[in-house]
Amino acid sequence: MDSPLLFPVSLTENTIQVLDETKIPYTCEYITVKTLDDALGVLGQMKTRSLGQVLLFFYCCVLFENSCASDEIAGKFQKTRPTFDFLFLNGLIKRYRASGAPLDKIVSGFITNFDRARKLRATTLAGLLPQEAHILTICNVNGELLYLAEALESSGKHVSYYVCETRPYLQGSRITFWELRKNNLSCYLLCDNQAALLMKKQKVNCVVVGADRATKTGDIINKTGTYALGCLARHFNIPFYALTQYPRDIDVNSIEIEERPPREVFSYIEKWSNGQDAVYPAFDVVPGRLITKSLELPMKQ
Amino acid sequence: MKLETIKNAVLVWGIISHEHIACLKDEDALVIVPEQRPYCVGIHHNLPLLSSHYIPAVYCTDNMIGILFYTKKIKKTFLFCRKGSLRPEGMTGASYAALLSEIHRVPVCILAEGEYDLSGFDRDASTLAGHNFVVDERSKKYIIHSERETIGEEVPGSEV
Repeated sequence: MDSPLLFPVSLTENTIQVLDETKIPYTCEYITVKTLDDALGVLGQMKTRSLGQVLLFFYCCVLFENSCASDEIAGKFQKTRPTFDFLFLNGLIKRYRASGAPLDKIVSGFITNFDRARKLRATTLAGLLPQEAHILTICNVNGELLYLAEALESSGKHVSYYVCETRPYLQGSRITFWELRKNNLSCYLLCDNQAALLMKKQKVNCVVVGADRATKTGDIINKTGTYALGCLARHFNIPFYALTQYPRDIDVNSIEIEERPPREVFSYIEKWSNGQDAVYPAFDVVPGRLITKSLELPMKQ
Repeated sequence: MKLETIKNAVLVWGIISHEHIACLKDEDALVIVPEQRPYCVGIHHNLPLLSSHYIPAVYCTDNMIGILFYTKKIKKTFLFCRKGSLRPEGMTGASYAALLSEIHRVPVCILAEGEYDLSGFDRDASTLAGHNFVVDERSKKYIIHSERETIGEEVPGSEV
């Protein structure tokens, strides 16, 4: 199984190549990033997100090491996408650098470790899921659902994915559904509002979501719509699993929820929008009480 | 509009009827208008209708109503359902709106839906406003379709 989403950003000599996730499923195009402003541009325009933004940050630290301190890069990334914790990633880099290792080696080591860890996590999660796993998911977790399908298959289990379309950017329809179908996995696409009906009809028996942020008390922040899935899953007694990394010892409600420009709510339907006002909270909070189990990324220190 | 500016709001789901628009006006609140995929009734019917009656309204996608409940922005939900049905029957997503309301102890008011011809509307979750997001034609058969949802269990004692 393969997907360009597994590693959507790469570093080649003097440039960073960023998979333009807004063009999927029509084309797999890469944007060349040569400056920090280029990087902030692709980040702000949602050309990359999730793992892509982590890789972009790390590669910017490598590429611009001699011209810009990682503190400054982290500050600018944080301002562009305020919910994600780039300052924490910067802290990781600084901690590793204190050991005297070169930055490019630190980053390549991190990525290798990260991929190993998500495969391990997929195996752990596969052990928790039922023999016939009908998994509801939202947004996109950068190929980890492929690893999960492999792990389930290895243990003799069967999987079907039910993918919420994830308005307004449609990461579910455009990316996850495409990625799963491309790998010949059983999957279905639904409108976000059909989740309750599917649960009521017992079409799904578990929910698996990613997490942009996690706290030590078990709360997460993820793509808008995740909280509703958590509430509904609890109502129907369906287990809800969150894929988390680096939980922090903070109050989840102290984390800024990014609100994006209202015009983006009308993505793809601009011709009908007629200047109407909209709200666009890009993320929501899922309290730990709604989460059956958080599976933390088992990174080596 | 920023979330923090929303102080007093009601949620609508379904096709708002002309006969009940006064109920919304009486609330003297901001009306949250979800998109209501796949038909996009929110933008085609509900927003223009509210606007023509000078009722303040704000648009959102369906998956955003969760955070609006979580942050206690919604004080009441108006579900517009088919008239005369034994149990209230709403449009796609009616269970989603009804259950989230019940879970957050937000009162649900069920009203008769308006008349609106949806026969020419796109009802395919893989397309939106002429854009096709599932380019592999063989994958088209894996799209979930639903039109009507019975919601009696979500809102006990409800009738249209």
